[in-house]
Amino acid sequence: MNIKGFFLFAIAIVTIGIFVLPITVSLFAGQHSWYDLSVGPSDVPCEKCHADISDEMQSGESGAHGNLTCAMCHRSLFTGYEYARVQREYFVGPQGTIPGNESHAASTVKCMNCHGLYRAGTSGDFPENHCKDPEHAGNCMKCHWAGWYDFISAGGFGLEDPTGRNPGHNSTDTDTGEYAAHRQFVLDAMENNTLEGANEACIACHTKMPVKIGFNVTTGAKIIVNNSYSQSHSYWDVESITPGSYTTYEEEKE
Amino acid sequence: MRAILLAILLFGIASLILFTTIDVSTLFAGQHTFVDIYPSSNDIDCVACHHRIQEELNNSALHSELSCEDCHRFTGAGITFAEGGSPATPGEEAHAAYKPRCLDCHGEGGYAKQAPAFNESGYGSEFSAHRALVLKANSSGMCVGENEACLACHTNYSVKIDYSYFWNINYTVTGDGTEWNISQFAYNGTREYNITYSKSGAKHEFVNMTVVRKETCQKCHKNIYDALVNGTAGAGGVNDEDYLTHAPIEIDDPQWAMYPDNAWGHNRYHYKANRANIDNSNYCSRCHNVNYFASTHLQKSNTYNLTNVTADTNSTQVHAAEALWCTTCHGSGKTKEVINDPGTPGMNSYGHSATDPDFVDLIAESYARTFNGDICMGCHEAAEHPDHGSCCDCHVPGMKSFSRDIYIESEPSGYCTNS
Repeated sequence: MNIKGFFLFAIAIVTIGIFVLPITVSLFAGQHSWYDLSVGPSDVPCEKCHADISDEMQSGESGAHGNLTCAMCHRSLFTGYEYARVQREYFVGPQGTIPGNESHAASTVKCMNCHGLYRAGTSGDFPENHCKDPEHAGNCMKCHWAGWYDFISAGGFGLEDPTGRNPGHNSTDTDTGEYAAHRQFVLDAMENNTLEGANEACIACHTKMPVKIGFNVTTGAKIIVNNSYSQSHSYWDVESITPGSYTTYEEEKE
Repeated sequence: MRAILLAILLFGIASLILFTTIDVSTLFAGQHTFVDIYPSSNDIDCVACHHRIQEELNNSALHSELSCEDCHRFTGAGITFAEGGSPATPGEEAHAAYKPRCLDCHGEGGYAKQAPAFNESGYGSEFSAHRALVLKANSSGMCVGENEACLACHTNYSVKIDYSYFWNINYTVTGDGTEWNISQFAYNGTREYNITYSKSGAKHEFVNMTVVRKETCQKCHKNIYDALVNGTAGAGGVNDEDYLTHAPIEIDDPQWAMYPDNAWGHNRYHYKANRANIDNSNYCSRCHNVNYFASTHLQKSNTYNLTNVTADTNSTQVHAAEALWCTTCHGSGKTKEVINDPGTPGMNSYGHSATDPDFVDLIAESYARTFNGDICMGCHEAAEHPDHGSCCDCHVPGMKSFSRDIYIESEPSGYCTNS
């Protein structure tokens, strides 16, 4: 059999196969194998699309968050958002299928959604009964290593609880942040829209994300001193102390 | 043609990969690799963002052994910092770090060597020459607490100082054969003196005290240093001294060669003529911190009776330098009280101590501190103390009355006439 004959034979076989086979070929195989979205935590595997993040979370360098599920942060009830879900009666809120409101599957979150919550004193105060939330239930020790009393708010910046649960309150009643060296960094990050809330500042320090920082700092002071005098009395009056010169440089955290 | 086909093929493959891949790209790679902060201490690498500060500390004469946390997470300041552990501790007054006051460690009851006087409530006594600077620093808001003042002297942070003070004074000294009097006193003009003390600019490069004493005093007070060393050049004749002010200088005119030492047994006045060559590390402290000078120059303690001189001053109550009056050391009852020179043959002089209290005390009572030194220097500048032939005018009691009109400029020029 020559080559020409072989090709004609192959085409004929394929044609017959397509004509007689009872199934069709679908675009995007698997698109009809649905995930179980019944009650409980979300079963949608975020890792399917966010493999890079999954790798980071499982890299062994993820510190306190190494054991968290995606949903514990990105479907957190502390955001105040209504995510699409199915709830049973004993969960907080209505029963049955809940359509998403501010967000469907997941949202970007503020670090302070979890780490800026207010707690009065040292007694138990469970925000929104989050221990019954399907994404958090049974995962207490993933966040509260020492037990329910292990309070994980960051504190020290004098920031108001971002959930709005306790207007006017910071993480604690004594969280003033008045001496925090990085407070302005955090405040400016909150004004910056690149990431949610103060996240730019949080991840700059608390993650391995590379950071470049352009510093513009003073290198000297200008002091104005006047001798104030009459014939019988005099004193040196330091009128002002102000920044006298600046230098710029760049730091690169790798 | 082949290249075009290859490009089309590559573009197609890339498009196919992009279309079929299920991964998405994430903004800010690495933002999900969190630093482990479980241990109950700071686990964030401060130096990762603050290399330059670490380099400054590496070049620092002091504090280079300290960690970032030693200063910036100093719990002795009463601040609760965030830290891990079981349970975790949220921050209160600060999260990761705070900007420390130098006096948090160096203040009263502090963790480290205390800053004399400034460690006390209200920054100690009024006698500290730099107390006004510290008070202003505390209220200026440029740095935390008083740190601007600390940085200016104790680090390589640069300083520009604009001083404003009087240009000159003039007055008349008269004597009637029994005592001296001052009249016709006036102050005139304004001197603007600008100082630029350029250093590396590094706030975390702390300098040792030898450098502070040797350089900082004379750089920040260059007007005074120049007045002591350079002043205004004299006419250049044998008897024409330079106009050097701020502190009396030895009169090294040849006619005084027969009296190399005065009645107190040491070189006349405070310094030898060539001041630029003396050891500048103690130049200022000889007058402005006698306590320090005495404690570091024990061999001179007996010669100059520095124990008693120290007691005459307020130098044990000051930080760095004492704001002086001439009467501080030379007033009535002081160890170095002004006296009329009993050792000069034929001179039973009067004037300095003819009154009670002494003439220098009367000056202190009647004239502002800022003028006191120049009033004395009107006669005690080497250039203007009469060099011969006129001693009796002022110093011989009952000889005759005299009147001298004196004009003297403030530092650094110090130009003076005494006629």
